[in-house]
Amino acid sequence: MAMRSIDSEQLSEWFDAYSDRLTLYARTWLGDDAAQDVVQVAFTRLISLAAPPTDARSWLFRTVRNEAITRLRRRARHRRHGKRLSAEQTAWFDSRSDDLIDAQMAQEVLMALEQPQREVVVLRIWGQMSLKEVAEVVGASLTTVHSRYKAALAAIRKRMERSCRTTTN
Amino acid sequence: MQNDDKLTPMERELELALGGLKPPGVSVNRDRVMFRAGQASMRRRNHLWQGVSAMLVVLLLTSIVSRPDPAGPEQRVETVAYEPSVSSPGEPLDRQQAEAFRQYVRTRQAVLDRGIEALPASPVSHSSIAPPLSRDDLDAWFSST
Repeated sequence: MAMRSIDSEQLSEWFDAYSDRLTLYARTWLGDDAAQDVVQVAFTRLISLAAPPTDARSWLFRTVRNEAITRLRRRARHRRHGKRLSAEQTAWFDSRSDDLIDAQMAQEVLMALEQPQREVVVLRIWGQMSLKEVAEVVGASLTTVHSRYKAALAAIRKRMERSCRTTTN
Repeated sequence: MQNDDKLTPMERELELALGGLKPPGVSVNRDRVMFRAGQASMRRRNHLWQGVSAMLVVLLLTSIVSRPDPAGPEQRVETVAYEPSVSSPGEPLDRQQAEAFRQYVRTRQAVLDRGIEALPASPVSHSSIAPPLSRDDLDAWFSST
């Protein structure tokens, strides 16, 4: 059976479908510029494959994750990650009038989560993956990922309710 | 988004609310990514050709080094060389041979000049040769038999 390489049309389709979600995912790890760079690296590696991956979406998210972690380790700035993330970040979401949740508030709440929880939420909601697929990307068991997701949703709800109460008062 | 994760209605509501938020449009330069991807693809193809070329060079060198002898396996041919036992004319004769040769030349020249009389006397002693028989000798011999 002949191996079929990835053509530019296919790459273009994947880019249109996933690049913004991948960038959001990368932003939860890195700063804005680094996130863009990591996404570029992921697509460059994708076209370098001899044959397309079985699941391009999972492959791209996993590659972005690995590259982000590599960069974080290389720069040895993991400890200061939380502070730098909040200081450097541009908007993660477009703010629209029909949003059920305020985009800025959602970003702040997500930033406040621990990285493992935040990662699961981003992959699940904006990566549009099942928790099983998320588990494969992050390299954890389904039970662990499920627990993280439930905990993350609970934390988000709690923070948003607190924020709403503060705003109301 | 998949609905297979056993969430409570409140959690699903929150999930839907969050999912309504859209990431901003692509901030990654699409043309740059496609260009880089194309470059990477070309590099991969170049590496392929370089690899094939290197392999061919190695095969060529190996075949040159381990090339079999075109004449086949080594064969031993025994040849017999004859060497003349007589020295060549250029070589000096030993003294005895030279003297014999000079004697021969002198005798030959003397025979040519003076005839067979010039031959030297036979080395055999005359005393050892019996004298020719006379008539008296023959008569005596017949009478005895």
